[in-house]
Amino acid sequence: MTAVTVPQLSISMEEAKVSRWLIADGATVARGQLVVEVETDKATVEIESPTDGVLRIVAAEGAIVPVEGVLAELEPVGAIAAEPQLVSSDAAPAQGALSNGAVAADPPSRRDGPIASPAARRLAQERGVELSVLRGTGPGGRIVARDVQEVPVASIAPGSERMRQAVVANIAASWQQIPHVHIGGELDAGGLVAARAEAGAGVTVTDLLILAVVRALGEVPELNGLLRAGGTVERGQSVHLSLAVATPDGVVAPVLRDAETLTLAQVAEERRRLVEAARSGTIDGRDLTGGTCTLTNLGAHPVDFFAPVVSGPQVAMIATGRVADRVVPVDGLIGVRPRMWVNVAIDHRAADGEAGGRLLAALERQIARLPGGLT
Amino acid sequence: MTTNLTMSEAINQALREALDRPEPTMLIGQDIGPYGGAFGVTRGLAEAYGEEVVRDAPLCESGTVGYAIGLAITGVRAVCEIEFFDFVGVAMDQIFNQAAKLHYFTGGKLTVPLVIRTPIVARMGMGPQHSQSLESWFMHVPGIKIAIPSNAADAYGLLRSALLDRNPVLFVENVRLYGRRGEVAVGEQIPFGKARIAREGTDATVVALSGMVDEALAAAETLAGRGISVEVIDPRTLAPLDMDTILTSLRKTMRLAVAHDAHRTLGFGAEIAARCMEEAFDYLDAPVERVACLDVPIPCTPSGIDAVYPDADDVVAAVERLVA
Repeated sequence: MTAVTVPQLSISMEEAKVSRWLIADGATVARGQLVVEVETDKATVEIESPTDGVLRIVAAEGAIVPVEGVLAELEPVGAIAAEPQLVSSDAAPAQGALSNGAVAADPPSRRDGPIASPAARRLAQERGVELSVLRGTGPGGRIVARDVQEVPVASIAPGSERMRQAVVANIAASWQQIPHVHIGGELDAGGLVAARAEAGAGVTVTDLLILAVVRALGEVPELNGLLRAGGTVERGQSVHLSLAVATPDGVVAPVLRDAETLTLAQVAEERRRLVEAARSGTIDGRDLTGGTCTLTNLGAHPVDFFAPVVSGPQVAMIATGRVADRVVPVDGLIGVRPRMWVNVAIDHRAADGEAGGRLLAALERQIARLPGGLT
Repeated sequence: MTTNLTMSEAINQALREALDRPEPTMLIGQDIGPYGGAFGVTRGLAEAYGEEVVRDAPLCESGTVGYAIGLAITGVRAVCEIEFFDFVGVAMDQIFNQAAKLHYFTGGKLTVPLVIRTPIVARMGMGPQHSQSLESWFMHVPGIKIAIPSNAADAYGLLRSALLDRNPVLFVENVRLYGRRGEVAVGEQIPFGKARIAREGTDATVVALSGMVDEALAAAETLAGRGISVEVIDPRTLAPLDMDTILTSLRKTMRLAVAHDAHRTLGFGAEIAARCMEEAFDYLDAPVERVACLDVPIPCTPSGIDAVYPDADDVVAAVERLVA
């Protein structure tokens, strides 16, 4: 029998909460049909059926299921129906979240919550809005559809409570477990300024910086990868660059996939899409998975230097500050140049500081090459 | 091609076309012969087709319907007229125990190609025994189709379909609408089970029957002036019933009212409310509103009539509660 299991959707993801079954228990489903909606640490994701079959739900709505844990079994179509009881499986964990107890638990009672119309409840669930924070404007204070619809998009965070928990857990683990080494230097940023002047509308300094960082990581591949359990480093086949994006509910890091294959215009377009989705809370869980290195840029603020915490299991995080004019020697004279601090935080178990030095050199070179070479 | 006809003329036209067909067809009912029917719908038919074919019936509805069932099961298409909807009670056993059941309990050997035409005489001061809208009685009994047109075009097209149907059909006409003119597509049928969206809207859905369709449209116009967009749906037939159109609209507007001349309790609106709850619970943003006749015998006096029957103002009030 095949099972619908919780996929690994992000590196930090350990479990998912079943938010809603889209298909009823006992219904026949087709391969590829969306059957269940789960809430991961950072987003709400719909999961497909891996095969045709009759759906036997194992994990009830509200249950917490670990990665690879069983959400439902799929009986072959036409098979004699087994007792519709809970099915245990090798894939199910022996302990913890997915115990039969959790499955059998009553669904959360709605009577304890605010009075809301069925339509408002549906919309709230679809949009990840907590009903308890809304004020009902319907008759008798009932929360009606418009109360949910009028919630500003920016404050909608799919599973924001869980997202917060996930951020806390991941940062604590990274801070406690990763021996950091920080390698920083002030680089010439004239190439960014000049290339920005050349580029068309809709391209930001950040897009140009991404382009240079991706090319630099291509020269220093040991910083583009993941530290696996047991100490082995898995180098990224491509550069999947996680972009740290501040949202009202904390930082999320959507992934610019196969970044080395993108033109500047494509980088700009994809970055805009990811940032907007992250900020509006509509980001797809698949856009949060598979990053091989992270870029965090505080250049919009009066920040020169900062020392970020590596987001395990990634090996490195690149931190960039603002581009600012500095007085520097130029050809033996006092000159003024745009400069930018770059700091590479490295998991010292996976790579040495020297790699950070090479990355800074590569990045300065790539920035200098940006003007005139934009495609 | 369309022709401008009153609803009464449109029904008369559809009956003529049935009588013109080669297969045997008979009309029977009180005063439908030379007199032309209590409301003049069959005017001219007896002269054109003869009093053998367009036959006056005695004051005995059970006899009329029983006779028509006998015609129908022996191969004559029968159309009978019950003078007032209220008198259908006299013929009830013939309708729900015979007409509705014969096909079933003969294992399909008999069919009952029978159309029972009857008018709603609401709001005309005819009193408690001549004013009722009893369509939901028939929805309760499997085996009878029900059409309840709200305009000339629908009356013609639906009656065309009824007169080709092999099943018993209750055809409910509204006397208030008999004189209403409209463009009628002569020669074209309107299938049963296909609702008409009389007006599109986004904020609330009003499902209205018969004479309440016009009231709902007037209400929608008033509400549009207040920034509320109302979708008006005329189901046209109650059995079969086009729930898909109603539910699609509800999923869009998330608010629904039902409006009919019939009494509120266990009326058509009760069934629609139940089905919406069953099939679209998660789309309801407010309880379904029923706009209906008060649960009292219908008075004769104008002020009494105004008090018990719903109108456009009641639809407006219901929609305002829905969107409150």
